[in-house]
Amino acid sequence: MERFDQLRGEEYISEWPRHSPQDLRRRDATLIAAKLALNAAMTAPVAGGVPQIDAHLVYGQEELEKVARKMEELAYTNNRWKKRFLNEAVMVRESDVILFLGNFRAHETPLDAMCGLCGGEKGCAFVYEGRETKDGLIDITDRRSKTPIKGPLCSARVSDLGYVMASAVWMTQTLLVDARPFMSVGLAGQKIGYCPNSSIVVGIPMSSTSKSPYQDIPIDYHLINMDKMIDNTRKNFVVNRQTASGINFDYRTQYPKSRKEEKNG
Amino acid sequence: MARIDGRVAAREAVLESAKLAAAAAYRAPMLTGKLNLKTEIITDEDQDPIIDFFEAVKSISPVMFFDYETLKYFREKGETLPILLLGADLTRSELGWDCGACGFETCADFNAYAKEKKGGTGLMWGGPTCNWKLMDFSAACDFACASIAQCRLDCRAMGTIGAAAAGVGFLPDCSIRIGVPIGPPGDFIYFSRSQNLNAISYEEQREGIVRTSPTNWQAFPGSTKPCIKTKQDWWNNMEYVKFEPPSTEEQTFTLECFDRVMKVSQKHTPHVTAWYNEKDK
Repeated sequence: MERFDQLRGEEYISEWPRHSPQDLRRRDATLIAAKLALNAAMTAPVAGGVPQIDAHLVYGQEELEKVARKMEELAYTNNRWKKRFLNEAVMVRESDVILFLGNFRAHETPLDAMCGLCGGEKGCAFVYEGRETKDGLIDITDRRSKTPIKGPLCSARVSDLGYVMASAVWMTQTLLVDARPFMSVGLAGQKIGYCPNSSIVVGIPMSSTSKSPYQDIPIDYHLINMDKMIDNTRKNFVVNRQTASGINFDYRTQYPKSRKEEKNG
Repeated sequence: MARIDGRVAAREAVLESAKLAAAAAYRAPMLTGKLNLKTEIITDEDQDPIIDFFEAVKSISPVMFFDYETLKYFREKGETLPILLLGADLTRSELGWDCGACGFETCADFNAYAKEKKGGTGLMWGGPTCNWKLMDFSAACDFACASIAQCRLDCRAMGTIGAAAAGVGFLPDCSIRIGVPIGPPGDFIYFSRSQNLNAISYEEQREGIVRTSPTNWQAFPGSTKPCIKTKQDWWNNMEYVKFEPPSTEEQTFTLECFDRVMKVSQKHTPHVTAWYNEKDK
């Protein structure tokens, strides 16, 4: 029973300051939730129950920053998604964990059921004619692409990724952890190399803080957010304590009296 | 005070869970925020057109056959499985992301192709499809199923029901449809389907497995033309895998089946679509 003697301790937990030991202990619990969400994703219903999911768990200040910066880089490649990507990069910085989920069959091993979802009446020919193939085998070794994602993809597989993504989010909601799936996060993760075998990736940042990072987003969020507010406070108050009051007395021996105190002697 | 038969209450609860599942579907997380989701709950005799469609197509599609057996079994038993039907039109992209996943360089190219080809369907669904809106649609289906699972009820998202529903006119303006039959209160029915026991004989099941996974029974391949061990004394009158197009008889069989499917479709579609016209009045 000796091992149970070690089962004791105390852990102080607080979400502030960010990345402090007390915050990291909090984040550890989100990581557990993320792993359970991953389980839910892996058991999501997919066509034929065929294994097809790549997953990547990413956490830690530097790792999240890397994803956010990649999103900011991608933001400037398309005006239509610029605002969205910049806003969502802030959300990533405020997250605890990102769960990346990708489909590694969508580009290489389609469902081959002639379902018609990808291109209509052409059936699977739509995908096979759009890719390099030999006798029904798709050659994926040429990874050059004019577009951010190299299509066409098997839509039936992509559809399955939708189920997978939603099951993960369902689990986070059941655990009362805030989460939301993003295309921007997924694309950035894919470009960094997460879910290395997948042709399409979604990113699900998760957070267990008092305010969900994924809702109530103000205008120009990449300029007006908690990090910027705090940094501007640091920038200004350093000066304020000097100019407004600090250099005008010696706190060890002096203290300015209020008018009320002066009046009362 | 009242007394309610538990079986009756459970049946009612299954229908209630279908309604909750529809609500959950609309609450699903979205990547695009642009999905126009349509849902409908189909019960009792309103399922007959779908079952008829299954019956017409079952001889050429085992998966349709299995689902036909299941739906028919519970319909005949008087315990029809309520079906939550979900659909959406995914053939337009308003996103402008130009991501390339669909195979076109830009969303504009995709939309132009869609405009030209719209209505063209594969065996089950229409295309082309915006992959991001598709994931939102699937997320809605997943939330519906998860909501039912949390009620401790069984369900299964079925493309077959979606295709059959399309064939007889349900959700006419959608390019994709998924049917989620729910319940009944009881043991597993969508997996390990006990109600299908007598649908296929042992011999047919064995042949099906050998046909789909011949390598499991493949003899020594040194000749490069290995025989398949299809029977106990496989070394006598050896049998082989051959590559050949379907025979004339097989092709005729398939065409006759499609003919029956068309007739079922023509029979039911006016009646099924009339409901939408009534509803919109």
